[in-house]
Amino acid sequence: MSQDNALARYEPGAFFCELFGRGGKPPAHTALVRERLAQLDIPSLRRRSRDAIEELYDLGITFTVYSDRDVIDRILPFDVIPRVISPADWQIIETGVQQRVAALNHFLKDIYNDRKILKDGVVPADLVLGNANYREEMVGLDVPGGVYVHICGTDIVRDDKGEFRVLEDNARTPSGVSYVIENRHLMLRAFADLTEGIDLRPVDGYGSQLAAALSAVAPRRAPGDPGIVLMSPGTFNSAYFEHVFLAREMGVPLVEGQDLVVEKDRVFMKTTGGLVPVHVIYRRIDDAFLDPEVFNPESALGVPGLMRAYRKGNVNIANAVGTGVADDKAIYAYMPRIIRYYLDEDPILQNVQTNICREKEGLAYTLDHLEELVTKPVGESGGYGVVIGPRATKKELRELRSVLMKKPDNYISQPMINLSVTPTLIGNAVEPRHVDLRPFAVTGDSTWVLPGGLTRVAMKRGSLVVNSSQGGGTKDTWVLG
Amino acid sequence: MDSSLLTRFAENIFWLARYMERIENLARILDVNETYNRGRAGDNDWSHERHGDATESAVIAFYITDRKNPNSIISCLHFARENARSLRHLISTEMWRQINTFYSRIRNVKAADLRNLSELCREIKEGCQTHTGITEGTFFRNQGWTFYHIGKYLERADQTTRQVDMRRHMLIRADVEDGEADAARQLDLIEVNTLLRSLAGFHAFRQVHPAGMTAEDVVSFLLFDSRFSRSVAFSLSMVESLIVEMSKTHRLRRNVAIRAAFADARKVVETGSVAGMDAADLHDYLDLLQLKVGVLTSAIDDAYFG
Repeated sequence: MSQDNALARYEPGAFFCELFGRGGKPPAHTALVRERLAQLDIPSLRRRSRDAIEELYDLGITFTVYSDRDVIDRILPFDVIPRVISPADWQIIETGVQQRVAALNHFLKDIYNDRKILKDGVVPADLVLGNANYREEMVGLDVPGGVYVHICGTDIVRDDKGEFRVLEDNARTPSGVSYVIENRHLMLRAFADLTEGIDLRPVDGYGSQLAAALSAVAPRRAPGDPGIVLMSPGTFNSAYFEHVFLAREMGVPLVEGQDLVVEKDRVFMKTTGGLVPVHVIYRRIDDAFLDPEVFNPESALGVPGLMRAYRKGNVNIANAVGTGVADDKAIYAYMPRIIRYYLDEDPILQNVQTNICREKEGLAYTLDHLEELVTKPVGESGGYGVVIGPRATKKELRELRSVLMKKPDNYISQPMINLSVTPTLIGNAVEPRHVDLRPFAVTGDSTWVLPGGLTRVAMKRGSLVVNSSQGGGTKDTWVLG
Repeated sequence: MDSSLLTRFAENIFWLARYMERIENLARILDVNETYNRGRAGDNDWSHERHGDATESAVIAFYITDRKNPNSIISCLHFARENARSLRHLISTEMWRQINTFYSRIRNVKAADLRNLSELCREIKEGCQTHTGITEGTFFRNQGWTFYHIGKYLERADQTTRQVDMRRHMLIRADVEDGEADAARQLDLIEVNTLLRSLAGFHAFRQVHPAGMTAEDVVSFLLFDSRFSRSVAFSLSMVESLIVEMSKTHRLRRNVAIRAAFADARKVVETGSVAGMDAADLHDYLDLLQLKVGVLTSAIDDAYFG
């Protein structure tokens, strides 16, 4: 290696590195990628990075911030050095995610019908029935195929031994899949030389897999070619680009609540030719805004009567209403037991060890080890309210302690995981940055997992928070064939 | 499924086309007025309508970069882009990309660009024409295509009537007698010239009238010559075939109100004549024509944009 090459000065330190492994000899499966990267120098990487960023703006692969004066389009920071996954590791992730999605669907069907798992005392009943995301309206509803979670995004990290662990299951409306596919397109254009001769699993089957899955869960009465729509809160939503992307990939109308109407418990969309029936709605809008007759009466985003049509079995909604109870951080702690209970299998993907503060021992342990643990509120998403013990100030810990004593039910704690790192272009250097992975699973008749998923990267040195709302970026994820 | 189009999208496509057409027209007016006012003392009335003693650069900024002016180029482009944003899954990636980069360019227009107005206007016109070309080359020929073009040609008919109306006084000047006649005719020629060029019709007019140029002939050409692509007659004939397309190709129900409104508008064009009109007559006639086009637009709105 010459000193000019991009990886010459790279030093992953004490962390597990996705490209170099940990200490010793770098893994064989990354050899070709390392070789190719070593042929590039920093100025060339920087130039291509600039081109890629310009391309993102030009194509409008952006999220949108609205101010009084103007509409501002921002891009997610994109790093040009891909994250690489070996075929063996992918096998673990793929089967592990399929297993988790199966368990989640069993769990949701059970809690909204027979409640065996609660009666058997495997999961505390009040944790489910008292959960803010539990929806009474779903009780006794027979959803097509028993599928509640049609689209799942499982957040997975890798600890310092290189072991995969699930951080959370996103079973409501997980976002980010458009970046997976657009990042790949970007890489193929900007780094044709880097990918040449490398056997990459393609990612462009997502739209057709999703459309097929949604077709498969159409109401029984629907025609062979059911009316599928993607329902978005509208252009003001920060994920609007993704809604556009998915509607286009599937070739289905991108509707807003105002475009739909319910007549005689059937859903229609308003078209230039009159009302056209709708049978499956992939909604990218929270439960609370779906139907002002049932949920938030102030919601202008929803469709009055939608829940009536849903309960009558005239329309299917993906993901089902009320899935939020399953991806709650409080339920997460029970996932290994939930998997064993329904599937009689050991979990393929492990949880991070989780202390439940609503339980006496969990709270005591958390309070004793506050400065070592990561403490999370159970109701929040997007990384908000998370306190990382080893990095918190004395004052932050003091405040956390008093909140924990007052509202222990609201918290869980976990040991700090030293997330794996991967080479990332930072200014004029390639440095290690922490990453996670969100694979996307689509379930209709069966569960299909998009090879790879969204690799999010914490762009700040030492930061473990990869969320885009906290300054995280993304990378292309290469599952090798 | 592929035959249906949401009413909201039909309306947004319609407006996308209208805004792009409006921008092109405005850029051409600004360019032509700039060019033909250079070297001519004062009297660029087009810019003094709202701005009294405003400086020329303030006026140019008002029409190009002022977001408070809803009809400025940046405002129209903003609305075009927001419509396009809502339509991104229906329009081609190339269409979106061009509108997006076009908007970024105009958003970054600096004072120095405004000083080189002709160059800037050329860039804006070409931005619109690139849009037209990409649309022609990449837009799927579904209902969206039809609504896009209905919007485009209704806007064009509206723009042409407005521009002729703005310069209706050249008909009076043609009547000026004797001693003042030469000076008036001189002025008149500039006005007529400016109007023709503002609608990109100068050379087309010359093909029909190789010698001479009277205000009457010019107005008649701009409104009624069905071979001239910015004439009202041409725009309406395009709208007519698009209305037929809606029922024949897209199987939308024949709409009585639209057909009636169209027949009405066409009649006003077919029976119209500028011969013997003074400025007031012309104004009344253009008013009537605009009214009829307005009724047609409302009928389309009622029928499809519900």
